[in-house]
Amino acid sequence: MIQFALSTGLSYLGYWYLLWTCALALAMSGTAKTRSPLSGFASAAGVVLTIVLRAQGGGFEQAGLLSRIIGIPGAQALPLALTLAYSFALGTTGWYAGSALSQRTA
Amino acid sequence: MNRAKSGLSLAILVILLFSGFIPLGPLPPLFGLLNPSSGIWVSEEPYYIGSTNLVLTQGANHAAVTVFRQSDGFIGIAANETWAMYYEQGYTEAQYRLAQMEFLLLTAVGNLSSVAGSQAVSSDVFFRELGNYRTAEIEAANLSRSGYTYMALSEFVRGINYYITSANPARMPLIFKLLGFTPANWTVTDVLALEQLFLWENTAAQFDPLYFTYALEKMPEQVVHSFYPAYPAGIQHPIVPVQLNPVIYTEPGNIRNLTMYTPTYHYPLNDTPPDPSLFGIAPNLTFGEANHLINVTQLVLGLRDFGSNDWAVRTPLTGSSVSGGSSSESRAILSNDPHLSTTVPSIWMGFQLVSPGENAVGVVFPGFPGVVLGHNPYVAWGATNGQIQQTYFYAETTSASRPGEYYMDGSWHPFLETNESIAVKGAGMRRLIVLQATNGVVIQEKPITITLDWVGLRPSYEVSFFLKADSASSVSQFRSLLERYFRVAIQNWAVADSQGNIGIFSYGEYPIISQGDPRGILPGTGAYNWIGFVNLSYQPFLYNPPTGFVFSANQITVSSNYPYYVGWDYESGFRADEIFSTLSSAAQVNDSNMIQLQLSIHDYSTDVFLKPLLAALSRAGYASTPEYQALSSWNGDMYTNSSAATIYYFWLRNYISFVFSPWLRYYNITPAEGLGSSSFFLGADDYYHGPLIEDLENWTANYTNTRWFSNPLTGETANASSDLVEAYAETMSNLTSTLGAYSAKWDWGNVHTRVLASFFGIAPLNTRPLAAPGDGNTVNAAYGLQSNFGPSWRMVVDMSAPQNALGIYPGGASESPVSAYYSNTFLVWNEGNYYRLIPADAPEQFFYLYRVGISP
Repeated sequence: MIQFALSTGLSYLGYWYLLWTCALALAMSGTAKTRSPLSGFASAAGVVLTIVLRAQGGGFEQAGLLSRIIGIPGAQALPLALTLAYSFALGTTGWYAGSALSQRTA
Repeated sequence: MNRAKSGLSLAILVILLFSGFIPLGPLPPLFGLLNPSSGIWVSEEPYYIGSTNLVLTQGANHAAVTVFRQSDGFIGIAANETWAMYYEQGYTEAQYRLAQMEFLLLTAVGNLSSVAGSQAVSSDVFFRELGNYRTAEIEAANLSRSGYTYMALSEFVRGINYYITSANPARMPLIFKLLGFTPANWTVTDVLALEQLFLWENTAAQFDPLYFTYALEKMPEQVVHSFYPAYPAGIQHPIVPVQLNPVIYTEPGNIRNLTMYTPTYHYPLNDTPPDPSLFGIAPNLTFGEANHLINVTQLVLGLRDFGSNDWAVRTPLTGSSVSGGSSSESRAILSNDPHLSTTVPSIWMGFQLVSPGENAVGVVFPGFPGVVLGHNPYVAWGATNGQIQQTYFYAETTSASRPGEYYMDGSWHPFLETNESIAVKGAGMRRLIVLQATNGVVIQEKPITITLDWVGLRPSYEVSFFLKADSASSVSQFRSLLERYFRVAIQNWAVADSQGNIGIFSYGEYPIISQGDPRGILPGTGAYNWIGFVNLSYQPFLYNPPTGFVFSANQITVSSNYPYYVGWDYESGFRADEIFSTLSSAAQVNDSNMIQLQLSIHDYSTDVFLKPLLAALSRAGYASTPEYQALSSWNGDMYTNSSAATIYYFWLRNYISFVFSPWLRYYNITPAEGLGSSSFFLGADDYYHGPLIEDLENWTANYTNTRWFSNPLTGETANASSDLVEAYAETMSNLTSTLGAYSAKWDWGNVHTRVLASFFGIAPLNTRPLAAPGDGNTVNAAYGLQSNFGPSWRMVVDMSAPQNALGIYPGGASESPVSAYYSNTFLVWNEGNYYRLIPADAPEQFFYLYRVGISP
C-alpha cells in the first residue's frame, strides 16, 4: 500500500522514473514484508491511477493517436502496456535491489 | 550471492533507466513521452464554449475583457482598452494553436530542421536566402514605438508569451511531445517574419520563370506563341476591363518593348539547369516513419493561395448609380471564399475583435494579430490572389578570377554576404553564406549564378494595412490604406460598405523592366533590372462601376491592351465565367443567391467542351451507349450522384494530356523539368490552371483543325473531333478497368471526396474523407480527387445588415486532435451551411457599434 501511495504521488508529480527509488528505500527499510513483483504491481497500479486522473479530456485518445502516428496497431494498448511495463519493472527492480542491498548490509 | 543479486538488479535498473532516457529514432525518450502526468496521457488545453470575463493589468493600466468562445471556430474578444484586445488575441491564439504557430514561425525564419531534421534543410536554406528574418528585423526597427502597429504587435506578442510561460507544460501540444520541442518567447520581429512567409506563399508565379525557361529554350518561337500566349487564349472576363476603367490604359507602359516568346538569356541546359523543386520545399520533405509522416511540404503549402473567389454587388444591379457616386438607396453585398489548403487545424482562426472604435469579425492566420478577411459595421472585404508576377530571375555574370563579385552596368560589384547557421536536428550545425546582388538574392551559385528578385525583399508594412483595415469606415478609406501599405503578394481586394459603395483594388508593387522576356531568366547585366513600379494611378481598380458588380476568380486582371506587363499565368477563367454569367444576368441579389453562387457546382468548362464532345461522339457511333446518354442529359453540374460528372472529369484530363503530351515529349520536356508537375507541362492542375486548358478551349471552339491536335511523335494527323473521341475512348477504358462496368459506382461522389489534411502532414490526424460535389473549375472549388484544398473560408455580408453576416471555415478552433472542436465544422461546411458570425446570443459587447448604448 505504501508503494502504491508513493507511486501515485511520484507519477502524479511527474517523477515516475523515480519509482524505483521508493521501492528500493522501502525494501531496504524492511518496513514491508513482501515480494518484489508485488512492489511492481503496486507501482503500476499507482501509475494507472495517475493516468486515469490526468488523462481526462482526451489523454487516452491521444495515446491512441501516438500508436497510429508511429504505425503500431492496437490503439492505446501498446503505449499503456509500455507505461505499465516500465512502472512494473522499475518497482520490481528497485525492490529487488533494495532487498539485496538490505540483506548484504545485514 | 547477495552481492550478485544486488549487482544484477542494479544492472537491470541502469538498463531500464538508460532505455527510458534515450531518444528512440525520431521519438523523444520514453520516460518523457509516456510520463503519466505530462506525456501523451495529458492532452492539450481543452477548448470550451462560453463566455468569460476577466481583468487584465499592465502596470497602472487595467482593462475589462470578455472572451466568448463559440462552437463555430470563432472566439470573440471584447475589451475596453485596445491594447488588451490584442494581448488577449495573442494569448488565445497561443492557447489553441501554439503548435501551428511555432511551426509556421520555424518555417518562416528557416529553423524548421531544428525540429524536423535534415529533410527540412532545403526549406530552411531557401528561407534564409530569402531573408525573412533579416527583412523583419529592419521592419521592426523602423516601426514607430508610439504607433498603432507597434502597440498591436507588442501586445499581441505579450499575450503569446504569457501563455507560453504560464501554461502547464503537461498541456503542450502532442506534436511538441513527439518532437521533444519546447517553445521560446516570441518577439515583434517574429510576427513580422511570419508575415514575410505569408507574403511569399501568396506571391503568384514564384518560380514560374525557371520552369518556363525550358519552354523558351526548347520550343520554337511559334510553338511558344501557340501554347503559351502572353495573354490567355480562352474566354476572358478581366477583373478591370478597359471599358470600365479606360484611364489606367492610357500610359505608354512597357509591354510593347518586351519580347515574350524568346529567351533573353540562353541558359546552357547541359550545365545542370536550375531545379525549381529544390528551392523552398523539396517535394518529398518528410519526417518520421514510413507511411506515417510529418510532411513539411504540407505544412508550407497550407499557406498557399491556389485560387479564390470574391465579388461585391450593389443592388439594384442595373442603372443603380453613376460611376464614382454613392446612393443612399443602394446596398452592397460582399462574398469571398479564398481557396487555400483545407487543413486541421485550419490555416484560419476566427475572431471577433471589439475595442473602442472597432468591431471586426473574420479570420486571421495563427501567429498574426487582427482580422485579415472579414467585416466591421461599415466595410466588408475579401481577397483573391492577383496572380501578378512579383518574382524575377537573373543570371549573374561571375568569374573565377573575381570571386565574390558579379558584373553589372560595366563594372564588378561585391556580393553582399550574410553568414547564417542552421542547427539541424541530429546533424549538427549547417553553415551558410547568403549572397545578395543588386537584383536579388542568390538562390543558385553553380554552374550559373541565379538571383531571385522579389518585391518582398524590401521592408513593407502589410501588417499595418490589416490592423487598420479592421476599423475602416468606407470603401474609400479601405482603398487609401491599401495605397499606403500594401506592396507584396498583390490581391484583388473586393470591398463593400454600408453606404452601398463597392470596389475592387489590385494594388501593390508591379515591377517594370524596360526590355527582355520577364517570363524566363533575364541577364543580370543591369539592362534588365527593375526600373520602377507601375504608378498607383495606373494600377487596376474599379470603384462603383456601372455594371453594379466587381468580381475576381484569379482570372486575368486586365484587358489585352493594358500597357504594362503584369504576369501571364492565371486560372482557367471558368470560375470567373460562371460568376460573370450569374451576376450579369441577375436582376436582384441577396444573401441567399450569393450563397447559392458561392456553392455553385456548375463546371463552366462544360459549356465550352460538352457540345463538341457529344457531337464528335455521336458521329463516332457512341450515341446509343448509356455513358453517352448520361452525358447528353447532363447539365454540367458536378453533383455527387452524377456519373456524367465522373466521365467528364476524367475525359477532360485525358483530352488535355492527349493533345499536349506528345508535343511536350517531342520537344523533350522531361519530368525533371516539370513534365507532369508544372501546370505549363501537364501538372495535376492543368485542367483548371494555366495556359494549356485555355488553349484547348480556344482551339476546340475556334480552330478545330489546328495542327496542334496532331501527334508529332507518330506523325498521325488529327483534329479536334478525333482527339475528343480518342480521349473519350481512353476514359471509358480506364473507368471500366478501375470501377467496373458502367453503374452507380461511377457516381462522382464515389471517386471525389474532400478531406481536411493534417496541417503537419501527419496522415493519422486527417479527418475522414467526405463525398463532395464540385471540381477545380466550379465556383465551389474542390481541386483533385481527394481534395484538400478549396474554400478555406466562406463569407457573405449584406452591408445593409452586417450584424447578420454569414461565414464558415472548415475545421474548428482547437488544434488538439482529441478535441471535439478539432474538425467539428467540416461536415457543416461540406454540406454548404454557414454560421451567423455574430451569434444572436452573444454578450452585448459584441454588438458594439451595431446597437446604440453599448460599450466594448
